This record gives sequence, C-alpha cells and structure tokens, in this order.
Amino acid sequence: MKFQQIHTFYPAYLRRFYSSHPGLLDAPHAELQAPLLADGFGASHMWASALAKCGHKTQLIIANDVIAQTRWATETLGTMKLKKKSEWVREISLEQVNRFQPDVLHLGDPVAFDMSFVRRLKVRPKWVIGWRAAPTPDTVDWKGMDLMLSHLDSGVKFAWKHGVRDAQSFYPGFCQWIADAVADQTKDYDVVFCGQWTPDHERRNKLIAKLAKASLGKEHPFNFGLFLECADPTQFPEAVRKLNQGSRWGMAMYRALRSGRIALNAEIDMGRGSAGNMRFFEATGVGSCLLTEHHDNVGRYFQPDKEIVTFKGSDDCLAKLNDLLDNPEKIESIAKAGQRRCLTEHEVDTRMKALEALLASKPSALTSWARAAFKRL
Amino acid sequence: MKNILVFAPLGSWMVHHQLDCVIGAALKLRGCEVRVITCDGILDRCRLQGTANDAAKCAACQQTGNEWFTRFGLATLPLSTLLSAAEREEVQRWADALDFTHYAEASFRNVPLGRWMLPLLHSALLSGYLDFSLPEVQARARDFAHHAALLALATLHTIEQQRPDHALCYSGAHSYYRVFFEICRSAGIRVLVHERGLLPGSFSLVDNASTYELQGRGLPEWDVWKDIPLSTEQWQHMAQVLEDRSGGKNVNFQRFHRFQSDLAQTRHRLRLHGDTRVLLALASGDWEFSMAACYGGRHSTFSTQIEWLRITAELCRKNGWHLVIRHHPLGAGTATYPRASQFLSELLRDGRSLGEHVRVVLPAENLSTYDILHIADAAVTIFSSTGADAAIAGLAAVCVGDNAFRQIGMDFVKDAADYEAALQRAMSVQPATDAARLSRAYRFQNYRILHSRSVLFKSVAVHDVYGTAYRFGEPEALVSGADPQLDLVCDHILDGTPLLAAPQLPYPSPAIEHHMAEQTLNTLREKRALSRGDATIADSVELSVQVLRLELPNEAGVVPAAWVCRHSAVDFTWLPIDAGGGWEVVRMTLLRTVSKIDAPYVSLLSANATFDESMISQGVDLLEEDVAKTGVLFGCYTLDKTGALGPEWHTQVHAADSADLPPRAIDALHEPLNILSLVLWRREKMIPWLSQTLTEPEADVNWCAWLLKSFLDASQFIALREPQVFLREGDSAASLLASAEAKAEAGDLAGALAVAEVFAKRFGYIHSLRNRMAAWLVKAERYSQAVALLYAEMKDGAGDSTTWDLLQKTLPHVISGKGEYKTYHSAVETVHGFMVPGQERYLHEKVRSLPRNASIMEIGSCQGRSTTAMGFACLGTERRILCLDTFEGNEGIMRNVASFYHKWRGNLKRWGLERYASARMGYSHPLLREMPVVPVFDFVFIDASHEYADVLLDFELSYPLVKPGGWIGFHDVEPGWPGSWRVWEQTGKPLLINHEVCDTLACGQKQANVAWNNHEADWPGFRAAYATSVLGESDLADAAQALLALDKMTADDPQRAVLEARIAKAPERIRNVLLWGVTKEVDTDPWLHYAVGLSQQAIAAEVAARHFAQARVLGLQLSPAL
Repeated sequence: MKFQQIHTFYPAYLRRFYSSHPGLLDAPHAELQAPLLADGFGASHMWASALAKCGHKTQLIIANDVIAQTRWATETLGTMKLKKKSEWVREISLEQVNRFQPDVLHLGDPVAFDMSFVRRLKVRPKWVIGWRAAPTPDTVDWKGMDLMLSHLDSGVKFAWKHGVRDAQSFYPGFCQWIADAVADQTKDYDVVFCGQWTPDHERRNKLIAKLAKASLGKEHPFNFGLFLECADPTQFPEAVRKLNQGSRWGMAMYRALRSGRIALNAEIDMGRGSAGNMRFFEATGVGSCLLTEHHDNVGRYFQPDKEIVTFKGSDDCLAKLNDLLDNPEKIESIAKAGQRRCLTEHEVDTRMKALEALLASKPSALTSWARAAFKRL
Repeated sequence: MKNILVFAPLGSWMVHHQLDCVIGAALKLRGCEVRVITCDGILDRCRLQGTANDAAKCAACQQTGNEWFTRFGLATLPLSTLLSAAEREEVQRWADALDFTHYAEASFRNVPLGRWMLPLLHSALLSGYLDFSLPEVQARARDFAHHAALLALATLHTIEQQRPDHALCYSGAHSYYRVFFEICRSAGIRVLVHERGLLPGSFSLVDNASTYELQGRGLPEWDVWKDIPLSTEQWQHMAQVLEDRSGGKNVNFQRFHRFQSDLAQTRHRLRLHGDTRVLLALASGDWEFSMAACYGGRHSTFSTQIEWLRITAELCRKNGWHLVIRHHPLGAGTATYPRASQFLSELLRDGRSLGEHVRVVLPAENLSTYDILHIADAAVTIFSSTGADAAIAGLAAVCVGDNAFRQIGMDFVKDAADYEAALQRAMSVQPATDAARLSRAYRFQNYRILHSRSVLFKSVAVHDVYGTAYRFGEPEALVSGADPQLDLVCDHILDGTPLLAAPQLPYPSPAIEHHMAEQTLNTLREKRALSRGDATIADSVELSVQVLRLELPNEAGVVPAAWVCRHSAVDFTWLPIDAGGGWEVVRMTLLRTVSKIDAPYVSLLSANATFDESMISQGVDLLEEDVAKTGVLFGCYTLDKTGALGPEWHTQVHAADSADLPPRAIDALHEPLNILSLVLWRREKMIPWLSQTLTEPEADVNWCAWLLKSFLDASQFIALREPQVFLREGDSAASLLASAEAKAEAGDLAGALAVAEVFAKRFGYIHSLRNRMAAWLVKAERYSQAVALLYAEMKDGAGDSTTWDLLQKTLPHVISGKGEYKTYHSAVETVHGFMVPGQERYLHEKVRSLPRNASIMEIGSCQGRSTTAMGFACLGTERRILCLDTFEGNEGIMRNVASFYHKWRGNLKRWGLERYASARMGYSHPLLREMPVVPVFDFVFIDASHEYADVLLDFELSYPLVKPGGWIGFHDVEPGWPGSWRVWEQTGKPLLINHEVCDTLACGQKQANVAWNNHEADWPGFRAAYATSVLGESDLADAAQALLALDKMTADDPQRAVLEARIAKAPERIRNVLLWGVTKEVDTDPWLHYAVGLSQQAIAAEVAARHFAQARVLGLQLSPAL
C-alpha cells in the first residue's frame, strides 16, 4: 500500500522549530523531516512512519512547512511555476501527490485540503481518508471522501452530514519512543495543564481559572504548572497570568506534561460527551496521572480510578485533585497503570494495525436513507 | 504690647518655621500680639515642593503649618482672608499678561516683583541661565510672580491693618520670603531674619537684613570682634571645628562629598609634580552666582564665571602657574531643566582649550577641596565660603566678588584690570608663613561660625539638617529664663538689645594667639610637605593611558574629546571601528588593538562621547587602589544634538533595574560604542574580559543591554554613581527606523537600506530590522535577497511570526524564478571590490553548479564582494566558503590601516550570509600549510597576492586540497598582472582541464591522479613571451612612463599636457589598466605590480624608492621574479 499523509502544523510551531534548529534551514529536503518527526508534534502525523514499519510505502507532507516544501520543489523540480504564489501550499502538495500516486491519501487537515484538492489530482487515490477533531466550517467540501475519522462523536456526525461516504470513530494513540525520550523528566509540579486558551475552550478556561485561583489560595495550595497558548495573554485572569509559563510544543510539551504528577485534561467545547482527545493519550503515555473530564465513553480507553481519574464539573475536579494530592501513592499507582495501558493498547503501532484493518475491510458507503437520516440529526 | 507679624506661608518648611513658632510663642508669653500669615491653598502652584498642582501635598503643607501655629497658640492670618476676590482677579490678570522678555522689570502696583522673583527662579531651576523662551520657565516665572503679587498685597494689607512693630521671617531673600521682608523693611518695620546656622542644630539670626545681603556686606559685629585675640582654648576649639568641617563632620548642611580625604594622594590625583606652582580657583554654583547678581549690593568683577575662569587660565599660563578649578558641589545642576547644567557643559567644552596647565576637578571627584588647598600656593574665588578656608590653610587669597570673606584679608579685585597684579601678589606670598593673616582668619571664623552664624537655642534646634527638634513640654514653658538665647532674641525684638553679646573681658593675650598661630603654621607646613610626596609619587605622575577613539564611519558632529589631561603620557589614537559586523567584530578589533598597547590603562571613546580629564584621573586612582578590578564604570550625562545636557545616568541607581535599561529614554545609551566609553579599563584585565565574552550569544542580539549588564557586575567593575562621561545622542533607534520606513514607503529602497545599515551598525540587528528590510525588498520584488535576510533572522533565533509570514510570501517567488544571479546582483553591488563586471555572476553560478554540500575556499577576500556573490549561491544549502586573508590589504599603502575584516563580515552580515562564510586571518601560505592535505574543496578561487611566486605557491599548496573534478580559479589573469597571468598561462592551463574564462578570471578543473607540476621547465621562453605580450606593447610602457613622470610634476608644469597626450594616445585597454590601477586599486599597490610587471628596473627602482620604501623595510622583494 502506498500511503501518503498531508498535514499542516501550527505556523507558530514551525517557526519555533526552525528557529531552534537553524541548521535545518540549509539542509536538503531529505534531512528535514526526521528532526521534525523526532520532535513529536503530534501522534496523527506519525501514521506514515508507523505504517512504513509495517512494510508500506509511505510519505508525509507537512504542506505548510514553507522551508521543506520549497526545498523539495527546488531540489526536485528546479523551478516551479506557480500561477498564484499564495496557493503554494496546495500547489506544491498537488505536485507531490501526483508524483507519489498514493493508494491511500490521508488528509490530516481536511479543511485546507478537502475534496476540491483531491479532484485536481491527475489520479484519484483508491482511498481518500481524513481526520478531524476540531470545529469545521460548514463550507468544507468533503463530498465523496471515502472515510472521515474522528474520536469525537460530533465529528463523525458532522462528516456524515457533509457527504463523506463513511465516518468512523478513531483515535491516533501514542508513541512508545516519546515516552522513552521524556522518561528522565522530573516531577516539578503537582498539576500541569498544557494546551490552548481560546474561545472554543470556554468551559475549560473557566475550570483552569478556578484551579489556578485555588492553587494560589491558602486553604489547599498546590503547585500548578500552566503552559497555555493564547493569542492575547492579557485576557488571562490574574491567577492564570501568574502561573502561565507560555505554550509548549513538540517534545517540550511532552516534558511539560511529564513534569506534573497530575496532568489535567478537558475537552474542547464541541467535544463534550466524547473522550479520547490527543492529550488523553499524551498525558497517560508520558506517565502522569490523568485527571480528565468524565464522559460516558471514557471506559473505552481507560478504567476510571484505576488508570485515570475523572471528574464531573469544576467543584468535583478540585475535590478529586485535593484527594489525589493528599494521597501521593494513589497518584503514582494510577499514573503507572494508565501509562501501561496507553503504551500497550493505545500505542500508535497498535492503532495502525486497526487502521490497516479498517482500510482492508473497505466498508460500503452509507445507504441513502441512512445518510438522509443523519442529515436530519 | 508689641504687635509681631510672622510670615510663614510654606507650612511644610518646619525646619525654619519651628523657630517662628518658638519665638512667636515666647513673645506672646511676654505680652506681645503675634499673628502669622499662612497659606490656605491660595498659593496653589507654589511648586516649591517640586511638583505642580499636587493637591494632596498642598493640603498637607497647609495642615502642617496650621497645626503647629495653633498648637503654639498663635493667631493665623490665612491668605484668603487678606485678599478680596477682585484683588485676586487683578493679580491673575496681571500675571497672565506678563511680558517674559522683560520679566526682571515686572512690577505689580510698583512693587518690583520680577526682580525679586529672579533668585527664586534660579534656585528652583538650579541654573544661572534663564531661558524664558521655554514654556517650563515661563510657567514657573508666571506662577512665582502671581504668588508674589498675592503675597505682596496680603503683606501690604496686613501692615496697614495690624501696624506690626516687628516682623519675623525666614531668609528674607529666598523664595517668597523676600517679598515680605522687602515690603516690611520698606515700611520701616524691623525684621528679624533667621536661617539654619553653621554648627549642628543651630540657627543664624540677622537683624533687618536678608541672608544674602549678609554675605555681601559682611557681618555687623566684626568690627568689634576682629581686634580680639583668641585664647589657646578658643584656638584649639576653632581648629577642631575647622578640622571637622573639612571632613564633613558636625555640619548643619547637606554634605556633598563622599570620599575620604587623602592629602598624600592629592598631587598624584591631580598629576601635579611637587614643585608645580598652583593657583586654586574655587567656583560657585552658577545659579548662586546669578542669584547674587540679582541683589544690587553684590559686585562681581566678571560678568560670568566662564569669563572669570577663562581669564584666570590665561593669566596662569602667562605666569607659568598651574590652575586647579574646583567646581561647586551643585555645579552640575539638575536634569529637570534642560539648561540647568549649561555652566558646567560650557566650562567643559571651553575647558578643553584652556591649556595643559589646567586641572578641572568635577564636583563628584575623590578630591577634597581642603586637601587641594594644602597643595595650592594661592586661591581665588568669587563668593565661595571656601575662600575663608583658604586663609585658614595659610594661603593668600583673591576674591573677584563682593563677599563677607574679604574682611579677613582677601585681596578684593574690583576692576578686572587689577586682576593679574592681585594674583601675582597672592602667588608671591609663601604659603603658611604669615601668622597675622592666619590669626585674623581664625578670629573671623571663630566669630562667624561659633557666634554670629550659630545660635544654639535650648528649646529648639535643627535636627539632622532638615528636621525639627522641640525641647520642651508645652509652649507655656517658654517663659523668661527657660532658654537664655530665646530671652536674648525676645529682648532684641522687645527692647532692641543686640542679638550677639559682646566678647567677654578680659581679652586673651595677643602673644598667646601668636604662639598658637605659629604652631598651626608649622602643622600647615608639614601638611604641605606631605602633599608634595616622595619620589615614588612623582614617578607615577607619568602614568600611561591610551585612549582609543572609536570612530563610526560617516559620523558627523563629533564632540571634541578632552585632549587636555592630567596625564602627560596619555595617547589618543583613532581606531576606525565599524560596528556593522556585530559585537564579535568589535571585540576582535579591540583585542587586536589592545594587545599591541603598552599603556596599563585604556579608555575607549566613541565618536559620540567625550569626557573630562577627571574621568581618566579618577579612574586610574581607583584602579590603583583596587588591583582586582577590571575597570571603572562611570555614570554619564547625556547631551542632545545641540550639546545641551539631558538626563543623567547613574550607575548605582540603575544597577537594580539594569534589565530595563535599553528601553529607558536615554537615547545616547542606546549606542553600544557609547556604552564602551563609560569604562576606564585596566589593560591586562581588559584582554581576558574581551576574550572570555567572545562566545556570548546574548551580546550579538542586543549589545546595549548586554554591555550594561556586564559592566554592572560589581566583582569586576567599580561602578561610580557620579556621571563623568558626556554622551551626545545620535539618531535614536526609533527615529532611524522611522526614517528608513518612510524612505521605503516612498519607494526609495536604496535609501531605506542605507539607513538600515546605519541602524545595524549602531544597534545591531534588533527590532526586527531584517524583517523590515525583507518587507521592503519584497515590495520591490527582490525576493531572493529578502529570503537571505529572513533566513538570517531565523538563524539568529529572532524570527517571529512576521518573519515566517514573509518567508511564506517570498519563498514561493524564489522557487518560481530561475535562481539567476541577477536576483542578487543589486545586493552584491553594495560591496566594494575589484571584479570585472560579469565575474561576480561567474563565481555565483560556479558555486551554484557545485554539490549542495560543496566546500569552497577563497584565497584573498578583501571586503567580500566575491564572497558575497558566492555566498548567495550557498543560501539554503550546506555549501560553505572558507576565506583566507590578512584583511589588511597588501604590504604597502594600507599597512597602517586597521583591519577591514569587520567590513568583510559586515558586508556578509548585511545580507545574512555570514553563516555561509568563515575566515582565517593571516597570510595564505602558512594557513594553507596548516591544513591537512586532504582533498576536501570543490572550488578554490585564488585572488590574494598577485606576485608570481605568491600566486604559484597559493596554487601549489591548495592543489592537493581540491577534490578530483573540483575547480580552481585565478583572478586578474592578464598581462597587467603578470604574476597571476604567468601562473595561469604557465602552470594552470597545462595542469587543469575544461578551462573557463570570464574576462580576467580563469578557471580549470582538476584531473584525477594528476600530480602537481609547475611546468616552469616547459616554458623556458616565458620571459620572451611576456615581453611579447606586455613589454612588446610599447604603448603600455610608454603610457606607464608618462604616468610616472606626471606623478612627479607640479600642477602647473607645462610638460603635463604633453604627457597627458601620450597617455591619451594609448589604447583604451592600456589606459583603463593604468588609470583603474591608479584610481581604484590604489589600496592594493598597483604601482608595485606595474613596475615589476614592466620589468624595467630603473622604473621599478624609482617607483619602489618613492612609493614603497615602507615595503622594502618590511622585506618585500621588489626584484622581479621573472
């Protein structure tokens, strides 16, 4: 199987990555991707390398990595005439997909690369699959896409509504090697949270603000490490502003998660009701005790109170947190159990076997009545 | 019952008004009616507390005054009750209509308030210069006049209504108190004026005269006291008091000096030999000078202090004396008023032309005035009270201003024409020999300090200069007999008894006093002997200090440096230094230069900086005392572009917030070279310091912050709070950036880039400079050059979202282009060099054709034109260029010029290419010999010495380092450069294959398994061939001879036209070769090459003799190698 992944990374992450690896600005294209992957930005872009280990021919494209993409164009094509320079992200990727001619084209950013992109390919891949676990504009063109994956029920439903042939629940998992790479990180905090502070996370923001205030209070203070990405840090409440140490990406993020005895997790607002986001696995995978929102499907991944701890609402969160902090041995045992489960059942290699099976089964498209029914949802 | 009026509008000045309270209460207890004029907020902009319209402070001031006067049971007359609304409106209208061009003549109801308020303005601004064109001055002047008019009306009303018998107030001269004093005195009401006294806790009291008048007219009872000898006890007591005062002890005023006295070091610190004759000029604060001029009774022989000092310096020079100018502690003024320190800045500016015999001692130096008195032969002053101390030190003294101290025998010079004679008289007096003069001085100081100006009350005292001290329970305790001094004062007011009791009889014997005087003279002579020092001190006077003037190219408006110095061995050297290459370049240049210096102390002086000699002297003294320290860090005054003083930077004050320094609004401190100017270095420690910091990455990002942070390290640097350096602000970072942006906006890309280059040289590549430059280049569609800058920004770790956005915008353009040289041409054109047009493109494309990880070596890089052209071909690849060069040009004309390595690196850095090229400094042959003989290079370009033997050896040594299939190029392969030409023709051509030629640049490919052979034997007829190709061209020889002859002719020689015609007749190629060589290649010894190349021994010898004597000294072989 020829498997090709197209992803886009946060521009801020790419900028920081190249700033901290200045030598790569002059490196050939072939040498650019390995250090980027080694930084472990996320699990979903590890699929290509994981599938390669299974003997498939794979390629990963970070489509908005202007350094790597233009270097590829220069090295491969010499010059590349771009009719619209601003379209370089899609144009260079188009050239790459046309040259690779994958059996499976995985669109890691199915908003920037939707079916309008696929329809421009010289040869349509046998499988066009996507992955989405974030809000998606209604204008997205997914009509005819073979399969959309998401760990969010709402994501699956959205895909069905937007004309994909099939949509299934799926989660990317976590890499063992990342756990090994950060194993030396010391536990510097009682609790950590690593993530974004945006209007899409309003519920989570309130929770973090409450915990931050409590951590600085006199009643039951604790050492709270916040690593928040925010476009406008001035909007932080005072306690959050005091505690926030700025965003972390890649390996630095894993180290930040590992630096807390407890790692806090709460879903994006749209994800309410579904557990299984990236941090779910990242936190357990690095060996921290995950304190996460309770969802009905949480038991699908981890066993509450044995492998993770769940909470219902902010008051419950604080109570659970204080209880854990009062029982250090409990933190340690849950963290160990959670990590064990993550690195066995949810390891990326295992997940890729599931993906292989999924692709091999080639489920048929939904019947028209079922699609119509979902559209009415 | 007497009616007493007290004036106390500034309630918070309780250090003074406490005496009003006590005397008022005592008088009340003695049956007087006492009323106090107080302010109840009418003087709402009095500003005496330093801030305007501060309601809280105003209310606190009112409350303080009212509370105290009420507690003492004194009736207050609030100003608002003394003035009608109509009057207040009238005053406001008058103040609003003030004509500031005639402020001094301003009067309200015939009361000369303008004249009376001038001293207050001088005092408030701490300046002798009142610039009424400034809004700040106008505002203050208006407020003062407005308040003065209100007070004048209030005083007039009160006098009219209350008919006071006596008045009581502070000062009588200072601030608004003059209004009250002058009006009362004019109305025939006697005023008892008080001030702080001279002894701790004391007051001074003056009957019906202001304190300033007192200083001018002298002290009223002196006529009695001057004839009364001192007893032994009195003399000893006086001696102790004077000793304490000289050390700043037991005084009732602010002590300014913080260093310990060290008489033995005084001459050394002033760098004055033991036998030097010294006149000491004791300056006053220029604001005090101007205030004195506002009092009609004070005469000054000279119109300004500057004039006085300039004339004094000239007279000292004429008479062979040294002049030490000691500045007043408050001479430096304040930073709040732009012209506050004009006197000091003028003096320092003019001081540089005063002469080498002048020593200027700044207020904050570690030199005690009292110590300087002991090394001086005479003293001169205007009003300074230290004039009296001169007499105490046994000196003859001259004064050029009317002051009280002339009564102790100072020679008062009323007419400037008599000044020189007076100085000569004073200098002719042997110091510490005149017992009668000394006795008179002691009597005067005894009378003045211990009696007249120091009244000690039992019930009240000045506490710690500014505080109050009441020493009784309730005011009712101030009855007669409780405090003898208070009784005396009350008696004075009630009965007119004298304030100062007459000396007690019997008077001591004059003989005893004479004996004490002789003893004191002996002590003074011992001190003078001590101050002369021993031979060791005399030797160390010849301290050697090297001042390196750091020159910024194209820097205009350089402030003249302090060439005059206490150190006879100070050398000033111009060190061209270009900050464009960054901190590393500056450090390397400094290291190279400093390592060659013998002087133990080094100072770096930027083009924007200047300092007084005292900075060097004081710095050396401190470093001698603390041998562990690397340097002394001085604070600085900043000057605006007109030279006026701006904000001060104090090292100790700013140490705590050093991290915030760069953003502070002191533009002059945003210039890294300026910051280097703040330190006097110990040379031996400067070199390791510079070496150790070579690897500091932080330094390259923001020098200013890094330098200041480093200098504030107390373990290495002695940080002096006192400013001693003067920094003229250049264009600020913000203004430069704005200027560049404006040019870019207007489409002037070249102009914008030029300004950006100036910015980079001063501040480094901060404030996203490269982003801005890249944005301009993108706008001009010069995408490739923009990418180079954006890469550099990323590699510096300074890339931000703008950088990334621009990269996303530009890189797609670059991949759409063909990557041709033309996209870089305009950038390469900014670099000086000697390539034939087209050769840059050849080199660029040659490098592009190499593998993306190719290694390139350039032998001879000069300022980096070819390196830049090749460097752009390395962009985004792993190709790297190694450059070998001395970076000093050829042995010859440029020998004495500092390295241009910084220019080479700066040119690369400007285009973000510095990471693609590295340099090894030195001659190519030893550098090549040091390299492992491994074929690692893909391309070697030989363009160093063009001497045949040199080029051949460059080729021979680099040949084995080139990979098989790699390329070797030669520059200047033409008969005009016979060395390079011969190597290519004779050796390069047969040894290399696939020859490529680009005008005078030839290149060939190395074959595998072909050993080195110089092929000299293959061409025995080279000389003949050369003669055919070069010497056979008679035009060249003829034109060259004509050119040489022209060089010897004068401008009006009639033969010039003939010779010029001969040159003109030569073929264009020949003319170009010669003229180009003469004009453009002057710094690469064209004459030497031509002379050698022409092989005409006579001409060669002549040329060598005339132009290259220096080269011969250096052992350069002039004989042709042909």
